[in-house]
Amino acid sequence: MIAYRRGESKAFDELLLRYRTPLFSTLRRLVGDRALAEDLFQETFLRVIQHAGRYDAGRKFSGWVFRIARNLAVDALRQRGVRREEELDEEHHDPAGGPDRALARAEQGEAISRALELLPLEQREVFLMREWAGLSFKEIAEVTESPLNTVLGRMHLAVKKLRACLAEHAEA
Amino acid sequence: MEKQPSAACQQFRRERLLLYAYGELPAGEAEVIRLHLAGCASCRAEVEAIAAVRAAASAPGLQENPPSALEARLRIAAREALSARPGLRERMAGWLRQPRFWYAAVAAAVVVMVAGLGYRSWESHRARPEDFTGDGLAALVEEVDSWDSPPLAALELEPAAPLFEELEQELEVISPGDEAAAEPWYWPTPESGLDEIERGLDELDATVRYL
Repeated sequence: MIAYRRGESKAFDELLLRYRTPLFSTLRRLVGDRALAEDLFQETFLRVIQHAGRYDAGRKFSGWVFRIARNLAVDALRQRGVRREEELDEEHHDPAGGPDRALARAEQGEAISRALELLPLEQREVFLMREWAGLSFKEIAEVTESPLNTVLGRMHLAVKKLRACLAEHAEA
Repeated sequence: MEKQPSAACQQFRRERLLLYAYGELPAGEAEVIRLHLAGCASCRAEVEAIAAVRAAASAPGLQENPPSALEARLRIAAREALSARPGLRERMAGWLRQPRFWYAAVAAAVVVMVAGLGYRSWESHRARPEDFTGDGLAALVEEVDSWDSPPLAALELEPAAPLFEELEQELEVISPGDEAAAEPWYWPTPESGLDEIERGLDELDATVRYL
């Protein structure tokens, strides 16, 4: 990012290459809609370009870019009327006929993919940022503006639910 | 025989085991957990379960890339932003338009001016070796004698000239230009008599000024 700010356009290509998969995948799973994820991905990087001068060189770029993306995703979900309480309830009324049946039919990758979508937003974002984006728990705490213990608690619940889904899938 | 999970284990699981499984614990703490795991089946199962979830989450095909056209658009936007950035001349013109730049310039000028005046004052009052040669010392004595002010008379201080003459007899005062040839003890040092004279004159000066 510092190199880009100095005027090296190739540095931006490097950033895009490094973060496109984890960032886009995280956004895709957070909002559950590919088209919206594309819009958010574009907006995230346009903000990176626009606010390159504000980037604090003492902090990690990954934390900065995921913070922008996460805030955009949360705003977009709010605009769509998806409240967190609804997200929390979502696992109890799966339109595909319940997680059991869906997971039993799916392969393991597909099972975890579906299970991820059923996680509440707070748990999903922590899991995705740690697992796919490679942010440390401390960095996730900064990005989500939450205490470290809260982040660890959410991760614990996410792992517990995903583990239960995987176990059900294995039994099926 | 393996230990049963305790209440401490539950807290252990929730935070420490996650940090341990993701390699975020300091080496010392990680070693403590590793030793604990060797004797605790419950915690070991927890770490294995985390590892299983991690393996499943890294299955191929789960992560996606954005469309390449979108990436291309972003690359173009990044290049355009760089080329649209103002050059040095434009940036300098921008600084000159900001009041903050002028406040900083005025503050810097004041600091430089004060520092310059301070240095000049120090330089003009600084004692030099030539002040302690015959002519230099005589000039100082003349200066003190010339004050001839009422406060000096009020203090009933004797003029400095007789004192100088007395000292001159005791000290072989250096002539101007002969400093290099002089013996080392003639040079003003903190212990030298000439320094004593200078201090005395300074004190006298300060007293008179105070009065």
